[in-house]
Amino acid sequence: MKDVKEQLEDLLVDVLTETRVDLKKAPAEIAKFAAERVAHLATLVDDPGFQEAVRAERDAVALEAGIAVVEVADAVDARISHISGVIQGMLALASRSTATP
Amino acid sequence: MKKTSPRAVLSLLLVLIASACADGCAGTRAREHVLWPRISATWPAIRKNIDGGLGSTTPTPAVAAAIAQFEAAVKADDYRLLRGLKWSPLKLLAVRGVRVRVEENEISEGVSASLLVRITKFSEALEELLSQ
Repeated sequence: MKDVKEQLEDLLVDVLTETRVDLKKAPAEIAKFAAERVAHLATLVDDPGFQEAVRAERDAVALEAGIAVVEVADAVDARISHISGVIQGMLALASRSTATP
Repeated sequence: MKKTSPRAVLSLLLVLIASACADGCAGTRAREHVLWPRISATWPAIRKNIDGGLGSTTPTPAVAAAIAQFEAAVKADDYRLLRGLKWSPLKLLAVRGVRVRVEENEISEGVSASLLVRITKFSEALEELLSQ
């Protein structure tokens, strides 16, 4: 049978999968954050409110993964915006050079 | 009829694709379909912390308005309704709600650390959500 730490890791992997994040491919910060949270939870097993802590950590990891997804998407947008600017600039130059007699 | 070169067609397509996404479509989609669902799913737990922080005191009009604004956004499933949200007072109340439970020995320090991490991540996620 899996120990508590392994069960918690499975739980957090499920959360990341729901958030469309593959833990093996996730940015190192998310994997590190998830590992830290699992390690913290493993110290609370006999504490009052443990189940609540599990839910809180699950939410925290999902939120962290969501933030990372948005940051990646924003970077993609910035790159597209940059490429768009370059292409439009090149086309403007090309049309100016062909329009000049 | 004048033939259009493949390069011109490709350039036009690239411009159309780039222009369509230049307003931040990937970021908007990620906020709407990934981050917002996580935030709205976490709100009930954060709301519980806020209520704990309020205790038996009546919320100030600003706090009551901020709570109502959040509830409306979750009900309508529209994060745009959170624009202008005054989050800081709600965060302070949520943290106080967790501390009160530790003082009353309802939860341990370790468990409170987990609840506080959730509040911190919720705050960061809100900031990211509304940063566009």
